[in-house]
Amino acid sequence: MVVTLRKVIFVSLVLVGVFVVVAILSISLGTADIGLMKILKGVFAWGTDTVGGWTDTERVIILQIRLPRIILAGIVGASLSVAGVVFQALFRNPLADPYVLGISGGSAVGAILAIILGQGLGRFTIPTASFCGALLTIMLVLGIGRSGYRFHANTLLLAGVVVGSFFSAVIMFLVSITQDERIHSILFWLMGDFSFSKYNEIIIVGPFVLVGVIIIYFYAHPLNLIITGEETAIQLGVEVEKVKRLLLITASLITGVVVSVSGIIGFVGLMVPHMMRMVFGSDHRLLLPASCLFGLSFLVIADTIARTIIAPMELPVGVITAIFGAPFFIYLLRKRGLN
Amino acid sequence: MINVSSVSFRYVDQWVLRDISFDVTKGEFLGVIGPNGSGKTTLLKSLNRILVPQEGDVLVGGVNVKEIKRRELARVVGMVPQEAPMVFPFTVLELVLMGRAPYLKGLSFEGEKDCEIARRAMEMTDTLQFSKRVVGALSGGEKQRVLIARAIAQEPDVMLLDEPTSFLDIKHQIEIYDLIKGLSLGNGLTIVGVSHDINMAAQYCDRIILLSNGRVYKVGTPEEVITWENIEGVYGCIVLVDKNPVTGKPRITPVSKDIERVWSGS
Repeated sequence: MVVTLRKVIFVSLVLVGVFVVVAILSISLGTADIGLMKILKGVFAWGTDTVGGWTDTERVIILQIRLPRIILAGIVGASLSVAGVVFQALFRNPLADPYVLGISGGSAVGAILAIILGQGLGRFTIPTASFCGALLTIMLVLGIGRSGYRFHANTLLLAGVVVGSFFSAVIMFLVSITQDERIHSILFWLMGDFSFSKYNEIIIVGPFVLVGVIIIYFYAHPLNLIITGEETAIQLGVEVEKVKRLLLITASLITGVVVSVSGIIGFVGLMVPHMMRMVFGSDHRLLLPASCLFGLSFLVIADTIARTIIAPMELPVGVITAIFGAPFFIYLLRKRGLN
Repeated sequence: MINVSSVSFRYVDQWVLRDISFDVTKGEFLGVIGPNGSGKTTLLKSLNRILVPQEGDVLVGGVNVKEIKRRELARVVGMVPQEAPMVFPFTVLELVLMGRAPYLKGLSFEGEKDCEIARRAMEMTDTLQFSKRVVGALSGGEKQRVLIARAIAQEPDVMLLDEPTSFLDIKHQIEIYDLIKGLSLGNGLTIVGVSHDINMAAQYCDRIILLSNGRVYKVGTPEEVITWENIEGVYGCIVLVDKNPVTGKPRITPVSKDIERVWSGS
């Protein structure tokens, strides 16, 4: 019943296993059908000259198109899920999520501004702008949702929704004044899209997410105490203000950097933590790794659906997560309202 | 055990506590009473630095609470909140184990010793039988006992309680007060409890502080504090004070100011 290190390791290994299976299935699915056995043979024959009998085309499809796409989708899913857990805990509201709170929208504004205004910091420009957008949004939402010393969970949520729609307007404005051929890709990127995933994006985003998630995990136990009330957490020895500030910045960071490569993908940070909480309970020492690792598989599954459901055309993955996520949000809202 | 000297506290520009001084000896059960807004809860929260008074000092066990780390303070002073928000599901055992937080290092997990301490705390509060249930599903009285169990698991020398019985019926009120009294008598725990219920405080507390507008109006034994002059002076309503026939402690009965009109029918 009680969470132990052994249980955390066991659950993590199982969820990594799930991800490996999901990833292999996802590689085999698509417009160019590559048999499952062929992929497995290739994996096991790694390093030999024949590479399990993959043709050159198959090599390109597997290693240059599908694999980076899966890894990037996984990183994004993991990151949004962890950010969701953190925001839900800090605001003590199961409906909080980077998208609902307007943070994804704020990052997108930052990213688009960077695209339009130019790349001052090289390839780190867009992620940096995106992170700044996320951070400014969270401060804005907190500023609006706060009355006096404390913030009200529902006011905060409303503030997030309003700030989010404001940013949508800003994005539309920026898009309409951008008069060149990049509009199409900006729009597609906005809806959440992995079709142009490259390894160099993984190299930029991956380390930030990894470090962010590790920092957050060190505060897993304080998060448990914070969700039972801030004064309780203080009296049990947590420096609540310090922890809150650090975690808000870190969660904004990992949201911002993934939005810079994936665009706005909503509701992942809402659905994954909730499912994990139903299975494993609320202890963040287990909930955080479980959400992180299940988030990997979750977004890869969603992205695989997005690119296969109307093949040979592709849907943006944000469409898929929203189709499932919005009703899920309503379900949570109703459930909470009725309690 | 606790020395409060000239403590004043204000929110922004409004003074809530003014020049408060008192001492609490080890093993004592001190009650804090007073009208709404008299500063009871603020005083309680000043004792373990949830709030930091602008003036004056609070010493616990001879140490100024401003000068030690929160984790160290949490090993000495435990607190039972009025209510705990249960937005996310925790089991009773998980919640009680949180009392071990001041003893956990960084990212770690509770060991066998912690589980044993939590089990004993649940035994003392009679909550062991639902240790696997979700806290949100418990009744008000059960939940309050779980919160007390968590504070016991903290192994503190001082326990602070903020109106621990405000949402409970009389059966559960008595149970909670018996439990708290037992902790002070049997375990030598020093207890400071805010109460809105003057009669409960009069029956159970060794001494009582009566607060009025952020000042100490009177401090002393229940017999010294619970007099009609003091209560009427602070609360501004008419009371009748007699002796509880069972305990011999003072007992108050509020009386309507408009007795002729209200009771004219009877």
